[in-house]
Amino acid sequence: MSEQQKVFIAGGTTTPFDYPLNLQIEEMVANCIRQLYTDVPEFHLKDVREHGMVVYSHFSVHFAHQLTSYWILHDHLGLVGVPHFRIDNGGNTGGSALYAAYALVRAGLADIVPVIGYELMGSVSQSKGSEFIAIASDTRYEAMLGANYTNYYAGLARVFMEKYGLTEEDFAEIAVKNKNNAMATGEKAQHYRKVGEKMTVDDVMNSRLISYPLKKWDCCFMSEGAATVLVCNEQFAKQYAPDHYVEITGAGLSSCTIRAGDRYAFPGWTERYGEGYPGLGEFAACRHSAEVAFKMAGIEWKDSYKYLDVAEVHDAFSTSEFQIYNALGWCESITPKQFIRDRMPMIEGEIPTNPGGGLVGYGHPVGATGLMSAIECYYQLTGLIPREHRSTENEVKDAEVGLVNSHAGTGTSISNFVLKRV
Amino acid sequence: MKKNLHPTPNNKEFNWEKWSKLNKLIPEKGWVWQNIRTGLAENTDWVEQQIYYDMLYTFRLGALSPYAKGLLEGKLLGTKCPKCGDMTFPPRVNCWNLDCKLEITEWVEMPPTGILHTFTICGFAAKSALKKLPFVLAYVLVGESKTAIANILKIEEPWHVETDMPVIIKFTEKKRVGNLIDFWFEPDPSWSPSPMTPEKERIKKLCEPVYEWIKILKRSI
Repeated sequence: MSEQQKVFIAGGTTTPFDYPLNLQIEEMVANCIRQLYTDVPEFHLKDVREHGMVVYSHFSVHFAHQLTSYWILHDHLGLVGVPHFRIDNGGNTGGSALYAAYALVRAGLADIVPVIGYELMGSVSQSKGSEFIAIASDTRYEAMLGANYTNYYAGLARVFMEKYGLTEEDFAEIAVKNKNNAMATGEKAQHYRKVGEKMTVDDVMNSRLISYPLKKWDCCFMSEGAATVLVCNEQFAKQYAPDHYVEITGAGLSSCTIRAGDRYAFPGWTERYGEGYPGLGEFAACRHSAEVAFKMAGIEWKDSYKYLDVAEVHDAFSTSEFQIYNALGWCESITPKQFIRDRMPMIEGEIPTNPGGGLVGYGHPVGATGLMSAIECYYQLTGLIPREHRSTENEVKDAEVGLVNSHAGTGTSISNFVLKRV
Repeated sequence: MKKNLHPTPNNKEFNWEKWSKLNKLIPEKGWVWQNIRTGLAENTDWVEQQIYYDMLYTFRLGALSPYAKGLLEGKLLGTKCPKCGDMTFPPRVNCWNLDCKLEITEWVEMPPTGILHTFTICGFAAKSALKKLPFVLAYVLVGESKTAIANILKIEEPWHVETDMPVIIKFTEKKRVGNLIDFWFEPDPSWSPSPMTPEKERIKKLCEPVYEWIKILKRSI
């Protein structure tokens, strides 16, 4: 009978998130693992063969017109015989794959689980790509309208905005923070590669309307890339990265309705959180999964930022990052408005959020995204930022506890993790 | 009459000949090789191939069929749980309350009126909807439904939309397809917009380039 064991992250790498189109997925992922061999010299895929499993994190089969593309990858990596499966959970694919790896190691079913995430999205036109992603919404009631996720999120943001008296500028501050953080994150971040300059709130405000209150620079781009996180037990963590490993001290996963309109008064939520919650403006799945993860890590939900040194959250849109602050319990003692106006999530603030640039700055190749957030958080906690970013500009000095958040649908599936420096 | 748990339509009564003719109107091509491009990038060979692939889907609406038939007739059919009384539109053919143990709900006709819960003004959307820009996407609570449904709100000046405004449902007079694109929302005739606010002015300004862009887009199509 396998024994329950503690779970650690001993390494992680990403490719650039606007990966050149003339590469195939196996090349992209192989390059990612070759980088891991350089960064974690003790690591060997043979160990995975002997003691592990592989969890693949991949969202859409539409983009490649290839089902089970991870079977191609698995063969390519030479891992035939090693158990493998793929997680798809919308935008929370990365977080959910990490959750699966966590569960496998925790349960003692595997001692080492590389989580390999990837997404190629440039094989079709951008508007077709948005349509592909939009078929993760209930196609019978939503996608038929010709709306896509940006439009749904904008609708959720508008009611949030009105409820808390926020302005477009408040959201723009978040977009600017993430884009400028990506400038210091360097060559892998999409904003650095594609735009390559710092931005101001005016730039965001003057960019074109996508869906009110969202403008062009409030949104992440279509991206392509891969990421690998090395999840393992304590023995392998000490062997691979004696000075650079973190423990996953909390992990939570929760769900909310696929159609945002259905969460107006969904049975169960009202009993848990009171009348009118979550409504369309709140991410109840984020709150619930955070509560679970925080409880495991001994953190209180209310004002949880006081226990955290750094956070990497799922900002597909600047507005959703703000809604996530609220769902994480950060705006309980002060209003959301005051939270942003006090510059709490900025690099110099109480809880630096998305110092790696987040989705708006770093990019969003869906299957790799949640893993990128975990990797950036891991770098912050293990002092690897100077090596990885070749800059200390967005390093959170002496960070000990970090939060990783991954988010899907219109808040339909959300995971939260607490990472702790060992 | 007690319904079978797994109703199986009597396929013999269905006009298959007509259906197969309809199928042939949209022929499927499958894999079609289109183009190949070759070149060098950073001293590395690269090749791009383009492939076209199409497919015709047939969706069976099953227990949701009354909803689609209702739309064809210009009616909104929602559902009501006989146990807890919860009413929802869009319909749920089994009750969502765990205590009702997936009770089969009853069809109820919803009134063609609702209250707008939240909205966005779209300046960009999927390809099929570009020509309609800028349009309002609204989440509306229809009648006594406990869920909101998303659809387009047609309004002359989109910046005037506000939360909690009363709306009515209008059905298209053109060919209906049994999908929610058969209807849309419009402001209730009794409603009149409040005076301009800084937010409304801002939205109006954001919409200006969208109107210009769509004019060009329409000319080029």
